Formats: sequence, structure tokens, C-alpha cells
Amino acid sequence: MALEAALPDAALPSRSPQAPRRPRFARPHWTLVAGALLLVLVAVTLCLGPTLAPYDPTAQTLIRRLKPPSEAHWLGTDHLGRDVLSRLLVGGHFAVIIAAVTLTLSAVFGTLIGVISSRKGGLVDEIAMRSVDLLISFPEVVVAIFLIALLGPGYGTLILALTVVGWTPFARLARGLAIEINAKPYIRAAEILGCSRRFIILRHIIPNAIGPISAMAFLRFGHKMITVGGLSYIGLGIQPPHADWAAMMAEAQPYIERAPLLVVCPGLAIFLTALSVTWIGQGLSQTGDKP
Amino acid sequence: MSVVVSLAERRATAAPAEPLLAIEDLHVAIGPPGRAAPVIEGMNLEIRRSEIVALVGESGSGKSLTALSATRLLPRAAEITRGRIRFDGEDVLAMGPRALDGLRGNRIGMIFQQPQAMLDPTCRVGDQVAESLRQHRGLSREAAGARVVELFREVGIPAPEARARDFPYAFSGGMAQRVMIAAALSADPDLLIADEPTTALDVTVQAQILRLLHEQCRQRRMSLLLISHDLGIVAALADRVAVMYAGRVIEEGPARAILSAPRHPYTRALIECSLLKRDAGGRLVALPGSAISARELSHGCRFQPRCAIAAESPHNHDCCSNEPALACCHGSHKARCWAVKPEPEEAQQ
Amino acid sequence: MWHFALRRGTVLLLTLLLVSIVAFLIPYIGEGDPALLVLRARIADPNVDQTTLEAMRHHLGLDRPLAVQYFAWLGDALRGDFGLSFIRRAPVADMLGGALLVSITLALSALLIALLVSAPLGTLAAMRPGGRADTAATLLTQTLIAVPEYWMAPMGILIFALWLGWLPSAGWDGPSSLVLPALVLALRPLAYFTRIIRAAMIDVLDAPYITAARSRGLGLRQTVLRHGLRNGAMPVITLFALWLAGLLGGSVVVEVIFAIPGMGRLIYEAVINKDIPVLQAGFVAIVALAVVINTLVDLAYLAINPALRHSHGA
Repeated sequence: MALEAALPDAALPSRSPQAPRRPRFARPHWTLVAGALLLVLVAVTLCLGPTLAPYDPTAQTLIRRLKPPSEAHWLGTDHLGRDVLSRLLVGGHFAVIIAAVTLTLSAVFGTLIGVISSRKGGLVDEIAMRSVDLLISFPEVVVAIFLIALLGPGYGTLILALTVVGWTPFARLARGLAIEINAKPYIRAAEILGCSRRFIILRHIIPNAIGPISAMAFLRFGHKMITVGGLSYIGLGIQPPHADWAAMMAEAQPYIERAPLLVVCPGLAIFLTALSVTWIGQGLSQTGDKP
Repeated sequence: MSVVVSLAERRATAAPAEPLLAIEDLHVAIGPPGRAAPVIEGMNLEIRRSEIVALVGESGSGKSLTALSATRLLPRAAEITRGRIRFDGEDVLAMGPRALDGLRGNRIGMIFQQPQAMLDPTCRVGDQVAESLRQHRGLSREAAGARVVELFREVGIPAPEARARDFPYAFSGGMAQRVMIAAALSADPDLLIADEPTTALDVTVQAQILRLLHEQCRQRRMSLLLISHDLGIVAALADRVAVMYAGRVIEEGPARAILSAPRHPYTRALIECSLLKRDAGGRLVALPGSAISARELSHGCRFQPRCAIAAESPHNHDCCSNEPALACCHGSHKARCWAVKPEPEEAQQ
Repeated sequence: MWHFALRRGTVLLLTLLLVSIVAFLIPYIGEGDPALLVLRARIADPNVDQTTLEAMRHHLGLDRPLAVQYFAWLGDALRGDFGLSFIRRAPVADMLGGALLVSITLALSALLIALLVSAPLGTLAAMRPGGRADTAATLLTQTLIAVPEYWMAPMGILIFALWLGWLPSAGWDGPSSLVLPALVLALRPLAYFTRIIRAAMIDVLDAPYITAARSRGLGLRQTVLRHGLRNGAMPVITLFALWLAGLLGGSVVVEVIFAIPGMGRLIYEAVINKDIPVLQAGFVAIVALAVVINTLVDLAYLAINPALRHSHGA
């Protein structure tokens, strides 16, 4: 229904889960493939980054500030003489990890709340869903800033801050899915056949729900990464001396005319990472939909 | 009313031989471009003035698409790939958008299966009916409103003034269908196409709606193309019947002839299944297999896989390899079956 | 319908009450003694003796019971007095009002730009799903979602302000300051709006009542404009409102980059400077706005679609 797609995470297409299950060998949508390839590239770079980096990312050589790309420094140096390429290769770790942890927590917590809420119904359901309605419209960044104001900057705070609002779309999705799947004829049939509740949940409900939920997780990953980057940009996220793409961009801002690459490259890195995960999420939700 | 009467008179004196709607060799395909599958193949249908024709068939046979083709309102995924459609002598397929707008509602009216879905939920019912009046007849808002109330009264909606101001959610299925009929008839078309008008309604309401349709057609001397899978309805209303299977007409003729002496095994099976001639305590008959989509067609008669005759007859070879043509078996009664031979006069009834 | 409005209204009030309590507690949860913080903000001397601290504490009324302090604060807040900023010694309410105005201007401009571009784009994509316009639109939306605004902003500044000199690179004076930040902020909502408009238009174009209206002879464009738009507008309105609520504080990064005195930057600076009254007021303001906007959207739904009036609260 078009309304379901009206939520801010509107990247999900307006379709309900296929019944009973996605065809096992459905040809993956091209976005899934492209996204996966790109993500693998990014992941490899991140993992091997420290080994591949030609220089120590934190080594400052003030003599060689703001040099343009050359043989020695493929992407030049920044305002403290550090090699841009090296910093680029290690700059994604924290953002990616924090985003991943946040999303996993949000997905698990949100799904639990959504499913429990749909099972209990009544007042519990009402309260839960009203809270979701409320929290979903909060700007994540602002909530994060508030929590950081209270608890001080730090990775734990960051993860907490982003999860506090981040679980809500999962709760909504999970609740909707739970209600929808529960009403399907094959669940009815399994109950009539005498299958235990646990069996039904494990064998039927979870496999059918995992698809849309993981699709949503991937789709939101990019957004989370960018939010973490935004917080780092204004100094409330990932703290120095850890290298971070967004922080690099913030530092390079005064020198943008002299050395635009300092801003272009980290931004491109964030963009490509976010794009790859978005494609994966898109591909997941569309595989099996169209020929 | 005088407008209606004079139009009816005009229709009565118009040349009866010239068909009002003539569909020839219609081919319609559905699907993404380049991979479209045929749904209607070689459909022929004629409707004369003041005639009630029933188009019968199972779901998936292409009945609704035929109807939508007549006014070129096919869904976006569907396309007319071949054929000719002529309405009152004019080529419908060659018409531009403005001519089509002038055709729809004005000369061909349509009603559909789910009447409540056919109304904009955010708009008052009276306004929606009045739209086409204002479009085709250029009436002012007051004049159109008055006419709408008249129409509602004609189709049997109680308290018409109040009802016209209601929103669609306030109408039951039967009442909503009356509204649709009022809307379809508002510009007094020559032909009304009714696509499964009573399928979604209760049985008692069905009878009322059918009676209403019958009345209006006779009064206005309007032609009616009634599309249904329900032979009971067909028996009640139709002058002529055409039976569709897998995108083609496989039998057509006068209603009485078809219903009492069907020639094609499919028609026979339909009638048996339809409980029209049920003996008390007898077993219900079911037709084995299911309607095939046009994609699965092979050579030979399309009904052959489910045909009892083909299974045990010497014609079997023909049935498998060649599609029979629509052959005349008596007068205007035609059937598309190898087992049918043209018969002399005493075969009727 | 009024039953529904009443229920929503009560929920709204309860939420606001809850929010006010949380906002009030901000200084007590955070690290540091409020009295100390105020003193630090006002006096340069890092060493503060006990007597001064006690005096300040008494002056701020911090020695009263918590509940009393809360109601005093609430009373003031309801009268529009959120106290004085620690840093600027100016009434917080004034600062908030000014910042809110700026943020609303920025947010509305960005969202209107997004809507103006996405409406035709989404409609075009919907007319022929799978066609060229649709594929292009999909590609565009996917790309835009992945673009960080703190990348676009410096790029924009580089190209349009530094290289071409057409627009100012920062600040908030005059309409030309609005252009670049609004454009940058518009990119993400553009992607989401295009998606939702496309979905809504596809639903509309295939809707039975559109076919029925056309079968009565009404032209396609006229039918879509008159019937399709009202039915298809609802999800778009919802999204627009949600984005508005989200941008009012959420545009902080863009505001910082372009040095725009909006809500986001106000709160950000309050965090850095530990300006607690501003933080409290800002929290209340943003949450209150979000909730109010949400409730208004729900009510707008009922107004547009009369059928819903019957099912709600019935």
C-alpha cells in the first residue's frame, strides 16, 4: 500500500512479502549484484587498509603540507602533511562498525518490540505504537546531540544515541509483518495440522519476515553511516586521533580551494559505501519481484 | 424523459441490419513490451441495435478485456495488437483522445464489477455522476444536479436528493451499482457494456439490478453487452449469447438455442455445471482441469485437453492438430468444434 | 471524528508533559553541577570557593525540592520564559524564536524545491513503470540517498561561491544566502518524495475509479487532476510533514557549514558551551513541534478522506 511507503524510510517498495517464500533460485536483481560487488570492494579495502597504506596515516610531515597528487603521494597530502591515500584507506572503520552495530541493535530491538506488540495487542500495542509514531519523526541527529550533551562524546554514547530513535521503523515493519504473516492461510494450516508455536515461528514466520527486515536494515545502513559522519563532522562523533572520512572532510574545509581533493575523496568514499549498501537493500527487496 | 423517448424512437427506426458494435479479429496481448503474451486471439463479436448480447466464459477467458477494448480503456500493460473495432460505422481504433472522450459515456456506457471501487472515495456521489453530464451535455451545475436526482429516481435509489450528497462509503453494493448505472446512463448511450455487474452482489440484490438493467434497455431501446460467467443471469436477459474460451468465441447464437441445445462440449459442460438443469439429489458436475491462459496454447483445438469428446472420439487427430473454424450449425447458431456438422432444419429444439 | 480528535489531543498533551519533565531534568542528568556550570560561564576564574557556590546555588533556587523547581520552571516556560542563556545572557525564548524562524524558512524552501522537482519526475516515472523515465528516476533516487550533505555542501561552496562567485559561501543575509543551503538540503527529500509520488501515482493511475471516470468520457488528464490528485496526495502530505519536522533540528550540519543561525546550530552550540537553558528549551521546542506536526497530519487525513471519519473512533 502506498501509505506504508510514506514513512521516511520510504525506500521500501510498496509490496507485502511474497507468500509463502521467495523462490529459492530467483535471479537477483542487478542492484543486488552491483551493490554486493561494490560492498566487497569496500570491505576488502577496509580490512586490508592498514596493510595497503603506503604511509602511517597519523604521521605528520609539516614540510609537505597540502601537496598535490604525485608519485610519492597518489592523492596528495593534507594540511598536516599526512598522506591522504593512507588516511582514506583506514578512515572508514569506525563509521562502518558503529553503523553496523547500531543497525543490528535497532533491528533486533525493534523487531522484538514489534512482534511482542502485535501478539499482546490492546494497551501494550497502543502504547508501543504511539511511542513509535512519536519517535519516528524525531531528527536522529538532534536526539544524538542531546544524548552526547548529557553523556559526553564516545562510541558507546554514539551507538546508544542512534539506537534510541533507530529502532522505531523496525518495530513498525515487524509488527506489520507479524500481523500479515500470521493471517496467512499457510499459518492457519500449520496450526490446524498441530505444529507447535515455536515450530511455526522458526520455520514459517521468521524466514518470511527476515527478507523485508534485512532489506530495511541495508537500506538504512547508508543513512546511519552518513549520520555518524555528520556527527563526526561537527566534532561530536568519532574523535581524533582516529581517522574518519567525515572528520577528514571537516578538517579540510578551510583548505578547500587549495586542495579540493581533500574533501572530494573522503566524500566519495562515504558515498560509494552508502551506495553499495543501498543497492544491496534495494536488490534484496526486489529480487523475485520482477523478471 | 422526452429526450429519452425520442432517442428510443430514433433507435427503433434506425437501420436494423447494420451492427452497432463490430469487433473483428481482435488480438490483445498483455505484458512488458517485447514479451507480451496474447490473451485474446481472433475475437469476433457483433452487437446490433436494441439487442442484448451476453458474453460468457470462465475467468481468464478474455471477456473483460474485450469489453475494455471496445472503448480503448485497456490497462496499461495490455495492448491491441491486431483487429478492427467499428462503432456505428466509425473506426474506434483510429480515434484520437478527444473523439474517444466523446464516445465514452456518451455513446457507450460501462458498468463494472465492484461498484464501490469505481467511485472516488473523496468525492460526493452526485458530483461524480454529474461530471459526465456537464461534460457531454454542457449542463450547468444546477441543471446537472437536478438531472442526477431524476436519474437516481429512475434507477430506484430512495431519497435521491439526500443520497446524491453522500460519499461512496455510505452506499451498499447494490445501491452503489445503481449509482454506477445512473452514471453510465446519464448521457443516454446507444450501448451499455456491463462487466459482471452482479457478481459482487447478494443474490436478492442481483435480481433487482438485472431487472433494472432489463427495464432501462427496453425503455431506451439501448443495446446491452452483458459479460458474465453466470448462465442464470444470461438466461434471464440475453437475446444472443457468445461463449468465450481461451481468447476466442467458441460458440454463439440465439440465447434459447445455446442454452437448450448447446453444440460445443465446453458450453455443454458449462450448462451442466451451472445447475440450470439440475435434478434434485443429483451429483454436482465439475469440469476437469482449469482454463488455460493464452500462453500455454498449442496447436489444435484449445479445448482439447479438457474435452470429453476429444478423449474418446475418432476426430481426435483433428482436435490435436488443427483449430476448428467457427462453423454454422443452424441459422445463426455457430460452434467451433470438429464434432459439429451443419444440420438440417429439424435439429432446432 | 471529534472523538478521534479528542483522543489525539489528550495524547498530545500527555506527551508534551512528559517531554517537559525530561527537558527539565537535562541539567541534572548531565555531568556537572548546574550551579558550577553557571558560575563557570559567568566568571573567568577557574577556582570557585564554596561560599560563592552556595550563594549561586541558592540564587538559582537549586536548594529547593526537585518538584518545586520543576513546577517553577514549568510555570515560567508556559509564560514563554525559558530563562537566560548562560553564554549570551539573553532571553532564551527570543533566541529560540529567531532560530526557529530561520530553520523554518530553510526547511520549507528545501522541501518546496524537492517537491517541485519530484512531482513531475515521480509522475513521469509512474506513467510507464519500467520505462526510461522510471529507470532514470530510480537511479537518481538511489544515488541521492547515498550522498552525504556535508559532501555536497562544500562542493557547492567550492563551485558556486569560490570558483563562480555567484553565491555567498556562508552567512545569512539576504535571499542569496538561502539558495545553496536549500539546494543541498533538498537533495535527500527529493529522492524520497520521488519514490512516494511514483508509488502513489501508480496506485492512482491503475485505480478502478479512474477507469470508471474515463469510461464516462472524462479525459485522462482531467480525471487524474480532479480525482487522482486528492487520493494520491495523502501519502505525499504525510511525508512532507514528517520531513519538515525532521529538518527543523536535523539540518544542523548544513547550518554549521553555512554558518546559518538556525535551530540545529543553536542546539549544537549549546552543547559545546554547556548552555543548559538553551538545551532545555530547544529540546522542548523540537519535540513539541514534531508531535504537533504529526497530529496535524493525522487530522489532515481525516479532512481529505471523508471515508476515514467513519472508521476512526467508531
